[in-house]
Amino acid sequence: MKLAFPFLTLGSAFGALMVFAAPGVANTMPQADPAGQSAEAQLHDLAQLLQFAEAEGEDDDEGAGDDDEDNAPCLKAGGDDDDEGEGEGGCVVIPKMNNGAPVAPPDNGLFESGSTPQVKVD
Amino acid sequence: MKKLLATLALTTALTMPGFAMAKPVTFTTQLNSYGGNNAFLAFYVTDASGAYKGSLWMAGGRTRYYRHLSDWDQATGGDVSQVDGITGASVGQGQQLSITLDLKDALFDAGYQLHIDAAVEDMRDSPSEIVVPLTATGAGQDVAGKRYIATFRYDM
Repeated sequence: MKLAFPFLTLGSAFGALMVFAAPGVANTMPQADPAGQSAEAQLHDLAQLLQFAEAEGEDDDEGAGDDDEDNAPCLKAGGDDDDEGEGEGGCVVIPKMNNGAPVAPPDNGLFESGSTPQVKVD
Repeated sequence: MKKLLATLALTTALTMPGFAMAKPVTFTTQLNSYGGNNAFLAFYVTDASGAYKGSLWMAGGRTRYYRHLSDWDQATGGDVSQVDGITGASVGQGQQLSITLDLKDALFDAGYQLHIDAAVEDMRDSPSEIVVPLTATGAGQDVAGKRYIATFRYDM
């Protein structure tokens, strides 16, 4: 018992030292504000950062090639793999693909109205 | 009763020609083992004077390659909307593409010709690799291609 007590004390002290020396914990410790910045000002800065992050997120959604682009009448050259290296600038129209889903053919006088092309590759 | 029969006969007479106008046609294209990437194929029709009538199918969705389907490109001016809704995936070497379309009867035995342009990345273009008249007697007969297409046939 006499031997166990010093080991326990030493272990506890070492553990406490490790916890408080860890960078994450150290950063959470209250620190002196060298610039004298008030808590209110810090909150204001944080709010600005959050607003910026939100705005960036919106931009990503618009330009990421999701639903908005699929519905667009045309895409900028280089906007996706189909057009990379096109180098002609302007707008490139992507044909409506028929990948098994029922898609109406164009009204060019060759197809029976209401028909649906069927395709198979073996 | 007579009135009912007469009405039935009249409606049948009016609707039957409409059904007869539709003709399901299957185009079967067997590709060679040419040792390259997937082939782009443009199926289109010209009339008796050789004028472009319309497109039937485009195998390959990357529009940057369409200019290599040179006869189709020249006939359409590269108008991608011509293949809206009738565009599918490109076809690999050795693969067989089967397309079934409901085509109008008027296309057959009236001087129309089916053209197939073929193109493969980094390989020579093959415009009008297949040119066949659309006729009832031509159905079911194999036609040999020149470069990328081994055989082509249409059945109806």
